[in-house]
Amino acid sequence: MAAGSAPLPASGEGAEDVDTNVKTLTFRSAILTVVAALATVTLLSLALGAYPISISKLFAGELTAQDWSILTGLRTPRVLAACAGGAAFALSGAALQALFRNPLADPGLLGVPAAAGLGAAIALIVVGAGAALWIGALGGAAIATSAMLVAARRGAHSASLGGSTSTLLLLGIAINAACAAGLAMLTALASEGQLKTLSFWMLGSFASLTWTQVLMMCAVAIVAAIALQMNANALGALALGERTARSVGVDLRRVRFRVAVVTTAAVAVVTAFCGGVGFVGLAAPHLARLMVDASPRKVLPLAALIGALLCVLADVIARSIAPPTELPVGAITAILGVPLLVMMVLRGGGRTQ
Amino acid sequence: MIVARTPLLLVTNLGVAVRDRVLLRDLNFNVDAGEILALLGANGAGKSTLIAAIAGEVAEHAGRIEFDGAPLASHSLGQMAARRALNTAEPAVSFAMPVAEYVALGRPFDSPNAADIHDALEACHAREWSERDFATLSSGEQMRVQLARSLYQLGETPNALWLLDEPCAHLDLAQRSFVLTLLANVAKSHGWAIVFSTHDPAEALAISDKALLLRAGESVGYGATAETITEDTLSQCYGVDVTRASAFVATK
Repeated sequence: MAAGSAPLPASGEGAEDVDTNVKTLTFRSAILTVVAALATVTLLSLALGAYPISISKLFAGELTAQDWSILTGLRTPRVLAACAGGAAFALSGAALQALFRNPLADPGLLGVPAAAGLGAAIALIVVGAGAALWIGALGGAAIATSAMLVAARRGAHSASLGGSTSTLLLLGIAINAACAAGLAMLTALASEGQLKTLSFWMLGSFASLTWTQVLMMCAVAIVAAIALQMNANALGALALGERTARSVGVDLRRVRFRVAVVTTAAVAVVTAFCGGVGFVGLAAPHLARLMVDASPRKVLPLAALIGALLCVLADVIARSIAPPTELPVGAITAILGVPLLVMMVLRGGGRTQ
Repeated sequence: MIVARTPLLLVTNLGVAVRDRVLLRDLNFNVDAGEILALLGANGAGKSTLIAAIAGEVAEHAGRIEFDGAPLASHSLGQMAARRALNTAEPAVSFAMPVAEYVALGRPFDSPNAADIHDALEACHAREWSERDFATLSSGEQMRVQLARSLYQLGETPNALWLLDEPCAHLDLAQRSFVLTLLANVAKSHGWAIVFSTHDPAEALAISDKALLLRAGESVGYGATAETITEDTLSQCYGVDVTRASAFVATK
């Protein structure tokens, strides 16, 4: 490298007084910490409930037939659903925050959960509860997803560079507003019972899912994790701004399209089955960035694990506070998430430009 | 130094319009490997638009932009990233990141090469900031780290093109002189073509081989720097009477 020969004092003043270095854990220790916490909470989740199962018996293999049926029929699918759902929301949030270059982005921003909610409400009122609700939610999410993809493609062909990301954002806001309006109209038409079902679904729950649904959620979470990880370097370069990212070789159209497809699909499936589990998509990537740094290569897997941890923990809390009543998981994730976020913001951890 | 038969960057009859507003009209210039071209003009004269066009960001334009003998659009994003670096006027990042990691983003798809990153930062006298959060640096310091990112991006590639939008905008006398010297050295030692924009004729006179003076998107002068930058052309370019007087400059 050729060096400039002009003399220059290299360091700025004040560098020693204020600690301006980026503080981080090593990636490996962060992953290990979260995995250990997740394992602990998972065991708790398997053991706790209206019918307690002894962990020592589980390890000793001395479980009764009834223990087994509760474990495999109720608690395991529940834990897996919470893991997959939390991971899917967290991955989507992490990817969208990198894509929009904004730490406030989360899956709800693109309007997919809202559209799923509207779809569920329509199905509930027209057809009734049960499978129709999920199908309606999936349908609503699919429509929002398609709208988003059309916008992403359109943006991809427009001459201007910066415009298309804000196009996505604006469309998301429009979808959210339209769905909120639709939902408000429907609630006027719904019966008392329908309203209760709907509001409980919208607050989220990992309970009473079939193994098919749980496996679908797991598959979606795994595919999203792999697909987003493959785009992690491009997402990382986006931190430089879209112009500069392009100049170092990032194909913005491709990244934008892929991230939109993967995140909306993942959020659609999870929301349809589990309802609106809020705040995980926002909080998990934040926590991951605080533990390591902002590089998506590290943030994506770590956020997925943190999201899983938050959701399994929220699920345990939801059914342990006032058994046999189950509190809505979405409310618990928000209750866990809000103080974390406030703490981080006050510490300056949420700082951006 | 290798000199290509066709100039590294060849621009003919370039015009850019957004809707009905003409931003650039009928520009003709070329830059060869090892040469420095300064773009001069008042605010809004079209300097940044021109840099964006050369960077391939403007999909629809009149005229031709050729890089290394072929139309700009025929080079892939990856090919261009290996041979063309861009420094924007505002190098803001969206998340906290250490300076070394910022520099590593010059080649986002390669695993970071610590030695090259070190060298790039060293060349910009920015090595001791490598652990610092990029966003905590002053704007002048950020500019120098951005230079390091581009040095890391292009490495030892010969016949590369480096585009800089107002690289000295936020810099004090000492830093400005440092950056200009760095650009001049790199153009010679690496054989790179450099295009940079500035408000200040002194910067062009200090290091550039050629100058292009813009006014409202049109050329009011183009050629060897010393002959092109005159009281006459500057007066036209900025729309005020300009006379030559002595000024303070930082020297080695």
